[in-house]
Amino acid sequence: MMAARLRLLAAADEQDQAPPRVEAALRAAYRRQYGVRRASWPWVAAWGAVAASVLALLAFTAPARRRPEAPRPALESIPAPPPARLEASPVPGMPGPRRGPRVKRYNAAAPVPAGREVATEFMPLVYGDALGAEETHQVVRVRLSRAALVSFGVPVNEEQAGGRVQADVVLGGDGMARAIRFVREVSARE
Amino acid sequence: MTDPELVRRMIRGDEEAFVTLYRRRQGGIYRFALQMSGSAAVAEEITQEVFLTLLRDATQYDLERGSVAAYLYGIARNHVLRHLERDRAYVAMEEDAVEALASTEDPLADLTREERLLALRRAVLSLPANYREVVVLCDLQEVDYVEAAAVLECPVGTVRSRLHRARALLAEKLRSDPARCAV
Repeated sequence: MMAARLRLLAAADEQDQAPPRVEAALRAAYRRQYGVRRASWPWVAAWGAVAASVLALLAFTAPARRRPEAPRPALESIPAPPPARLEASPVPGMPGPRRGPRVKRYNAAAPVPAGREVATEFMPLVYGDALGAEETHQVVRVRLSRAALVSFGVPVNEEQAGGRVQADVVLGGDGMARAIRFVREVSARE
Repeated sequence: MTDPELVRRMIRGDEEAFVTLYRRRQGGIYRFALQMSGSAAVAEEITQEVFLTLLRDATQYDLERGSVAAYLYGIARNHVLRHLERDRAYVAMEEDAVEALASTEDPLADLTREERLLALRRAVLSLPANYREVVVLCDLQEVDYVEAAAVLECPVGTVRSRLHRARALLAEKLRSDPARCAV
């Protein structure tokens, strides 16, 4: 008897639930708490993209490595280029060029003057959204260990495993990496 | 997707898994807190606290210790009991909580029905907390005895005996108010 009455009460209350603002507040709390962890995933993806991109870089530098007369200078010794010498290369899904470092595009057909840099195209990283037209971004030059790339299954010349490759990473306003390209200085002998 | 799987994904940074789990479980938690406290504001606050606790302590959640629902009800219960301890002098039904129950199809019939439901609701709220929680969990939230025992941290036999006693107390309370006893 009492159980039946209580069932009626349960049915009457069945639709009661927390107001939507609770969910909104919890979503915000979740993002605050797990935001850092989420940010780590794009970097994992970035490393994956780096691994794929390095394959292109290896092909791009292969002729230089085969030269017997002189060892190629290590990439970590390459000085950062002055911005004035650089020229933007297009990034799919990104706004046009802005003030900041620009790197001359690599052109296999034309010889590159000694002391200049050559770079691959910017390669968009597979995660995240493209930069909006009004979104600020910055380009950061980083050096990546060749040895670290081995863990991604990228073949690395053992003689150069201790060396580093140089890359430009485009960061969005949220600090997420959006695109990457590899840069190498061309020596006088090349 | 099961609750434990949602918790695992949530910990790995899957916001939608967290939201799915929240939407699946918030209603029961909110109603539990509302039926225990009689206050929509308290129920809202406790619901939020429960899921904030889950966010904070999800990595410590042990699947072997019981279901996710029981874990959440357990957190809610702790918050409710703390609230009751603070406000033990007075338990009130908020008017908006009562009004929210009324439908408009047959106002006269609704009025009678709502008065009776209100009497029952008041009777539940007037039960001692240890009887109230077992009625709310087992009769109003339809949590099974085993899960209720996990939430209340007592043997299943205790749940049964408390429930039996709680229903008897409710019947007594309603008999003392004959005009409202026939729900």
